[in-house]
Amino acid sequence: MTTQQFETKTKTEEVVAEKSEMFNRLNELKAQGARLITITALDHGKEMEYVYNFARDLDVVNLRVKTPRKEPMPSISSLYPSAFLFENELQDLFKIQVSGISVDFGGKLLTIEGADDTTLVKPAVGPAPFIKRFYGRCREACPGSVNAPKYIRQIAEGNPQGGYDTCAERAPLPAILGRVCFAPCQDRCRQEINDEPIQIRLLKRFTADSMPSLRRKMKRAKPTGKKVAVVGGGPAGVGCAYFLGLLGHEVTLFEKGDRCGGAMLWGIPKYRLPKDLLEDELQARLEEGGVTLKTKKDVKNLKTLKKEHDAVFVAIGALDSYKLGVDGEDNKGVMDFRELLSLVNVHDKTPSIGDRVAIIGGGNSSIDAARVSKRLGAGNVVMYYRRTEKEMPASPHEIHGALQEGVNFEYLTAPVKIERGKSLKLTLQQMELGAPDDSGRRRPVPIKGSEYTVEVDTIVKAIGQSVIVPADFGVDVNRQGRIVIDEETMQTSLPGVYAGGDGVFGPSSVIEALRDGRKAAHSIDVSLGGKGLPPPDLEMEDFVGRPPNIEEIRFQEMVSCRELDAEERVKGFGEVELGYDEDEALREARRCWKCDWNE
Amino acid sequence: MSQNKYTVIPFGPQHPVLPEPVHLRFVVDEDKIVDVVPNLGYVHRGIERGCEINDYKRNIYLCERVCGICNYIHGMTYSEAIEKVTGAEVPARAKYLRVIWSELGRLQSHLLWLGLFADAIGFESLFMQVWRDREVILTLNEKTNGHRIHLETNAIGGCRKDIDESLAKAYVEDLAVVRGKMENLRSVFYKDSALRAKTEGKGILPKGKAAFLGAVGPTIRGSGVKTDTRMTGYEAYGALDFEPIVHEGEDAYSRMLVRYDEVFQSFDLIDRALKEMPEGPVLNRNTKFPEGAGIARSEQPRGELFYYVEGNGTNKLSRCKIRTPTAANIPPLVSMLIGNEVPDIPTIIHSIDPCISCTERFVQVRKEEN
Amino acid sequence: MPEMVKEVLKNLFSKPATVNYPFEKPEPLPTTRGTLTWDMNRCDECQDCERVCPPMAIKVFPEEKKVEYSPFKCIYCLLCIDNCMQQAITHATIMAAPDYKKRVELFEKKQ
Repeated sequence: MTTQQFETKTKTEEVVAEKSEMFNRLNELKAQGARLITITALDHGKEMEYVYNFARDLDVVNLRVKTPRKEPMPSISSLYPSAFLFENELQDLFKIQVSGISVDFGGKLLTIEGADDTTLVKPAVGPAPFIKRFYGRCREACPGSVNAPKYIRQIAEGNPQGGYDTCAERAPLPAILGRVCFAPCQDRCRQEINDEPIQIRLLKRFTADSMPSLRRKMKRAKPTGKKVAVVGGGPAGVGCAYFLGLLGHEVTLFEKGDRCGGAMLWGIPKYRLPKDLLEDELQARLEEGGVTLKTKKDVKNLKTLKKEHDAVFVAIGALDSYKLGVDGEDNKGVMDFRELLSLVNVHDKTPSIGDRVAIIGGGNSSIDAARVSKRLGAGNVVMYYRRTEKEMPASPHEIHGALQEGVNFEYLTAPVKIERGKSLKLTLQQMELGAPDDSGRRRPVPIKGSEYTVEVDTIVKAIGQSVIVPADFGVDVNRQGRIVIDEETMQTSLPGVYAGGDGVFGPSSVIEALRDGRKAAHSIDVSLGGKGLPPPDLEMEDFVGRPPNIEEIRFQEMVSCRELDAEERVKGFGEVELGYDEDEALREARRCWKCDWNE
Repeated sequence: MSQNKYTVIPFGPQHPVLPEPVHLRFVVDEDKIVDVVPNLGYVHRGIERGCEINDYKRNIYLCERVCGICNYIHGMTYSEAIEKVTGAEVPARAKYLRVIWSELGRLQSHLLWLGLFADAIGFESLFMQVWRDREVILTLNEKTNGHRIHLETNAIGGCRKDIDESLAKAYVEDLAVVRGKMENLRSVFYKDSALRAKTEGKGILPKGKAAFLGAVGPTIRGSGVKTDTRMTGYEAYGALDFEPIVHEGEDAYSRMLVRYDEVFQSFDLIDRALKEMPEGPVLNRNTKFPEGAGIARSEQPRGELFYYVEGNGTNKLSRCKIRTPTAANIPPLVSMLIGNEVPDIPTIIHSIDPCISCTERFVQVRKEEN
Repeated sequence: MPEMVKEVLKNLFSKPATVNYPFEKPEPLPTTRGTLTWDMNRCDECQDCERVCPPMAIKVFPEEKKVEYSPFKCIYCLLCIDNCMQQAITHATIMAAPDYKKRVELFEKKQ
């Protein structure tokens, strides 16, 4: 695209003069044959700046004179008679005095004699001009208000590392979120209407992949001398410790196991989130925040902790499971999904689970258990869920992956009895959907006389987690066993003790835990006398515009991510999604419609 | 008795001859005009203040509505001023397109004026004929963008629309028809004795005083001074070898001839620009908010238009000053009228081509919240 | 003078150039701008048209999923059509008709 430069034969010259030498300059200009174009004035409060515009041959000369508002300005209509019109206008407009105008209308230039003051100006009626900048739907849907439009723009401009910083400002684990987040932002993207949402999660992963090292140079604030303890090394705990560390506090993180990670460590399989990446990013955040990590420390009593530290943040997660409620649950071979996943993910063992595996449940964790079983060599893996596919809480992406790997699904069945013989006998009963229950989903009602039995080697229960709080903590819990907090300040019933994450809200997601961590960090900092963390911002000075040809971004195909072949996948635990390379990320980021534009 | 020699005649705001309302008070002695006091302010709408409360991109549409005849050039000059302040580069094809549409606007305005001038003198059939031929141009405007007068094809950084093959052909063919019809009237304008008797020698503006008083446009070119903003070469005029048309008569007759000849100059410019237009994109959007001050000048059918724009880094402007040619032509009008007779008033007022709604954007800020 | 006589005689024997509105209507060209219509199946209430409209003739209510459009405030600049990413707005090719009262047109999404 070439833009030819046409020669314009005109230049603009700026001349600044004091009031005393104004007339000398004017005489000079007149001798050069300049002609007056117009006079305008700028109101700087106490003083006015007059700008006289002249045309000299083909050039424009601007003469600027500043004078205090109270002093009258001498008129130039003795030299340039046409100036009287503009000086009268300035007099009436800005309520100033110009002395010695050749034709002085005396304040009547803009009115006729005898007219009311306000007949010539219509007061502004109607709504104020609509000049507002929106956050963008993706940002509004995110629980943590991550500035997704901004880092997509930064990728499109070729600055993915800036995008990493933008994301880490609100949710400090971009490499992990780019692989495991359930991405409510993508569901709200406006291009979803054509089934082609912007792949925000994969773009976030690209920013992390493009960093040479996940450790950044971050400046910590001045040490405040306050000490804070964080109980639990999951996403909520690490997030809170990172933010408090950057604000200058001395933070100690207590973790029950031998590595940080929490539910991200034992709950998410290695083919979705490689464990060395998890360890790398968590260590990077703890180092940047200057956090002391104490592993293998199981905190049972909060009182000593409270005495030694100024504030405590509790993020213990949801570590207990619901029981199936059927006979024979305690037989050998019936395992909880947490056991199976921990063995594989944390301890890197490959337990033998036989060839036939039955999984009870329909959430993301049961699909994880099913796909892990496939990789452990089970040939026949069946998932039993008591409602239909439409009500399954698992994400469609995961269901699709499981189907590709050969997992079978059976709907509208629930277990009744488990017996132990040479192998496990599982008795199931068929269900039909009845009236809706509290959550809005239709309650399954058993069909009498429809029991049938299957023989399996292992049964895995994956029907949900509950929270278990040690009795000596001393915090209030609700009916479901979850910690009770004040949602604004994240404080529990004990003063100085804050809580967040799965332990409060039940099993949710990584981004919601990070949101709790940041909110608690802000609250703790304010209570310790600091200023807290800034809320999500929206600057009007930041120029965001759409490309000149809107057709280019109107309807374009989504760039799909390359994945490992289904047969290859089940042979090992390698990562299934291969991520974007630079070219693909640029193309995808340029598709964005920039819903937060303000041009 | 001799004290009451002078009579004051109010002229306007409503008068059959005036296209737009203006109030002039003539102090006359029998039949000769001794003094004139103008009184403006009948059509003012607060556009300069409106430019300050709007988003800077919406102002193109507001500024186009300053005048109902010479509107495309207002929008274009405003865009140029903002482009200078934000540093946006206009593609080459857009510059040619802007020239073509400006000249189309100038054609339409001059034909309107020729008709009204004939009507003011009393030559009704010439008025009707010229206005019938002007309709072809308005239909062309409608083919371009759907509106007969407000073209609205400007955007900051280029143009919103493009001219394709069929439209370019329509331009060439229809304008050739109009050109033929205007050629037929050449002997009427140059030689008709009734026209000459009414306009020769009326409204003298001497050459020495013209620049001094601040006259612009055909008003000053009819007095022998060669000055035209198009000579500075803004947009694509630099590549089109432009020379202004000057007549030496210093009266209303020579101003009419200047405008009549400019019609043919516009036809030539449009033809040439259509042939020389390069290929390429037509819009190159700007990438930052306006900050600082910028000036743009252009040539309207009535003279030199001047825009001063000042931004402060957000999407609202802090000041937008418009100085239209008719505002600059009012002092020469006052000096032209003195010494002439009362029946010549309509002729002389028309010879400067008054577009009073352009003049009236002075702002009156009475209430603080406006 | 002789040229004017030629023209006058020609006009005596041909059709007048004026269109006898409202009994005859002029032919609409395809680019003529008329009132706007919203296709609510495609609209996703993003408020882009409201942000761009110079005279603020459009009001979008995202919760109630409706669009209010005033054809009397509209200046028919078609900026909203250029900026709508879902291509949900179309314009008629006859100029807007005058009316006794200033009305507001309402477009709602059917549930």
